[in-house]
Amino acid sequence: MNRLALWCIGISFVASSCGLTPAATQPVDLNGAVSLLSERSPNPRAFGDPKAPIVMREFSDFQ
Amino acid sequence: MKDYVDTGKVYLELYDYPLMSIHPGALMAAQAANCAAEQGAYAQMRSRLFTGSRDQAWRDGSMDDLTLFGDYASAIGIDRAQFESCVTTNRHLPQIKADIAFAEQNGIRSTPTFIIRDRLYAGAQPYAVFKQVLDTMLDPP
Repeated sequence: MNRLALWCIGISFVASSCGLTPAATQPVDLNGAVSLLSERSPNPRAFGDPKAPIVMREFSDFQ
Repeated sequence: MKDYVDTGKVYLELYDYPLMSIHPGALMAAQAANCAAEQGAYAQMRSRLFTGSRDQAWRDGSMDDLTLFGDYASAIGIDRAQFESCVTTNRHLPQIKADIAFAEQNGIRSTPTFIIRDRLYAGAQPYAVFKQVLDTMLDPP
């Protein structure tokens, strides 16, 4: 991934902080997931190695 | 990103979850991002959209917003006509709807929300939180 793309994503992480809320976790069952990005090809909205040990999914809107 | 994605430890997928009931411009923004992705500029458009939202440069998915998104497309060097055609014909709406369905199926109700493996993290998190979670997953105690 080029530096510009990395920078843009980094900025996005910061910008998406508008809805600051306390950390919260809960189990999520992905077995019934539909239309995962990882099942789509090509996938311009994914970054890194698809074979990486961890898959991280971010859900965001732009407002 | 550079610590985990570039090093092959994390594969990051970005999904759209436009909260249309409270963010009337979010759906068009999601379409803009996906239409920019067609031309290899997803990250750049995403950054512009977030900045524009923060600055309240766009609000409600109006024609003015579409014009502004077109300006973004021009500024990042993609084909504006192709971009605007993509947005106005809702080319990526099915994909966005699939993202929304996936999010709701997994109990997501707010943004940003993150799923790391099978754990859900609602709300923006400091880097330290991500680091702790990822490091623990990569090297369990």
